[in-house]
Amino acid sequence: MGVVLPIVENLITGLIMGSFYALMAVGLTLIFGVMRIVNFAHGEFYMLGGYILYYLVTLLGINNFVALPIVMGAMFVFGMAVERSLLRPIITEGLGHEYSIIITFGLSLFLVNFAIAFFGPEYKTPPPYIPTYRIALGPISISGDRLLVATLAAVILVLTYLVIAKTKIGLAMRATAQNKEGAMLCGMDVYKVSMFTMGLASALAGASGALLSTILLLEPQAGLIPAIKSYVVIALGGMGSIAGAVAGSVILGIIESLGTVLISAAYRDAYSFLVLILVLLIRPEGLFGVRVREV
Amino acid sequence: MFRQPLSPKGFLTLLAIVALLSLPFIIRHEYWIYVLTIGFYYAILASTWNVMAGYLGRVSFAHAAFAAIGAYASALSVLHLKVHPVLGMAIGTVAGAVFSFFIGYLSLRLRGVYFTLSTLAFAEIFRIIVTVEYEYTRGSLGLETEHLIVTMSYIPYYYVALALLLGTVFSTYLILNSAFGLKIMAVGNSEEAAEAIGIDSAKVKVVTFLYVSALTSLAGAFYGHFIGLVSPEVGAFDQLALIIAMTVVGGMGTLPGPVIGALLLEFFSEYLREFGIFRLLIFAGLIIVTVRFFRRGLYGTLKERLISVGGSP
Repeated sequence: MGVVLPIVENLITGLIMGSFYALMAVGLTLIFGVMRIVNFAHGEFYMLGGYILYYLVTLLGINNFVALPIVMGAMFVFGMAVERSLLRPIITEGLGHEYSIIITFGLSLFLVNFAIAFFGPEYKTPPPYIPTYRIALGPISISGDRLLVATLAAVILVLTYLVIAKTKIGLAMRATAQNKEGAMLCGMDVYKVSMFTMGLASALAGASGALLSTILLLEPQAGLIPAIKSYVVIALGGMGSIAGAVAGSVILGIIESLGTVLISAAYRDAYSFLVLILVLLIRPEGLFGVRVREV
Repeated sequence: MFRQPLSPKGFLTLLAIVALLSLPFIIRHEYWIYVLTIGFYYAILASTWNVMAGYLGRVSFAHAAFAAIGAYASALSVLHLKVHPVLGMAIGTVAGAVFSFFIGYLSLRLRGVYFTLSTLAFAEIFRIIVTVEYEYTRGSLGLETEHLIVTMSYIPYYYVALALLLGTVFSTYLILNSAFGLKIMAVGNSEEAAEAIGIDSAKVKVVTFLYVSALTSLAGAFYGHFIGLVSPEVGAFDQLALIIAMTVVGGMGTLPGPVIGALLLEFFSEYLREFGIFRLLIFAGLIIVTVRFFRRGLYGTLKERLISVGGSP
């Protein structure tokens, strides 16, 4: 029992962390699916979401549960603005991956240093959604506030899935992801689809920041680790695959938690990179991805 | 010696080299000699990153990490094997080459952004190992190491750095203008097309990455013995950001661009020192604006303008 208990507890922590990674990773995989780019500023969308929640709650005294949709709305607009101003030439001029990597990397750097300059480099702690309490399940105890926040993340994920599966714009997104030229020929506005995709992904990353920063700490570079983990997740699940992003998140959460108990805690953050390298080398298309041949 | 009259380009190059060689006699201020030496270090890193991103079309996020690999390999061999820093720098170069061969061999077959992601993972693993293995590397405190030259002045270092920079730019010029250089650019344009005309793209990519990484590690080793301290900062993300900003602002995909960008931004960075926190914010803004609106950078844009004014290429 002595070894099993911590393992079970860490397994549950892993599952909870996995649900946050999923919120980030689904946005990232949507962007990749529709626009064929990796957004290196995704972690900073997370960070901005955290700061917007922090200022809404502490300065304006708005309740966390009301502030969360406002954060998502603001980040939706922000994501659309980023697509319109910075990423549009990728479609209109057919620029290669160098452009998208460098411009999103520049945006990431800009946002981090913007936050350092204007929000301050020190740690901030947004008030929690509910007071901390623990739920006991027999010998195992789980943090109740974490469970609530993970549930909110799951609800947002389900809503996102419904948007993609059941709405017209979701259909257009799926069509564009399958074949951009084909979608254009059918009369779909690929610009509008790309803009909506960036907005949605940015809103999801912002929601992840607004949820997770109440548990972890908020600082200008807070988005770095969640972003890197979500790159690992989408590589693991297959870039562009939503189911893959969710499954990858859960797998990574568990690998990390178990690695910490069974191997070494100092190398906690290195496990995800090791997973990333192994996946890219052994199965670059990911667990759920389809191998595509470029022409 | 001159079989043909010197072209305007050759004349300007010669002028720039003479100017850089005579600068220490004109600027008598040790501080600016120091700044220029650091500028040369960045110019080497930007030039080599540019070969990957601007010519081969592969964006590496492990570039600063290779500078750190060279710096640590050299500092550790000077410390434990008691070799002279010059031999240490040679060991650092070899270490960079060996690591780049393995990393390149494994990850360069990945396309586009997948390669970038894997270099990010390698760089982060290296940084974590260096920080965690405190007994060997002294972690984030940094490892003190011997200076390359025992001197009170920065001028000898200035000339060593300048020699390394000129060597890097000249060898890159020779490579890019050789048959192998054409292969590099062919792979950069379209890997499929290059393969179709019989170019072994895997070999081209691995050899280019090895050349670039060995030079980067050499520069990193020099930097360690210049400052006298090797810390994980050498391979940090900020450094990578600086290298990218310099290359992009100067002109990616051009030979003089990264050198011009590095010297310009290093000076700029010294002037902005009192604004501390706004420095990287401004650099990030420069990356975004340049990539978005002046894709060819300072050098490329100026060259284009001059040609269109002059009327002939």
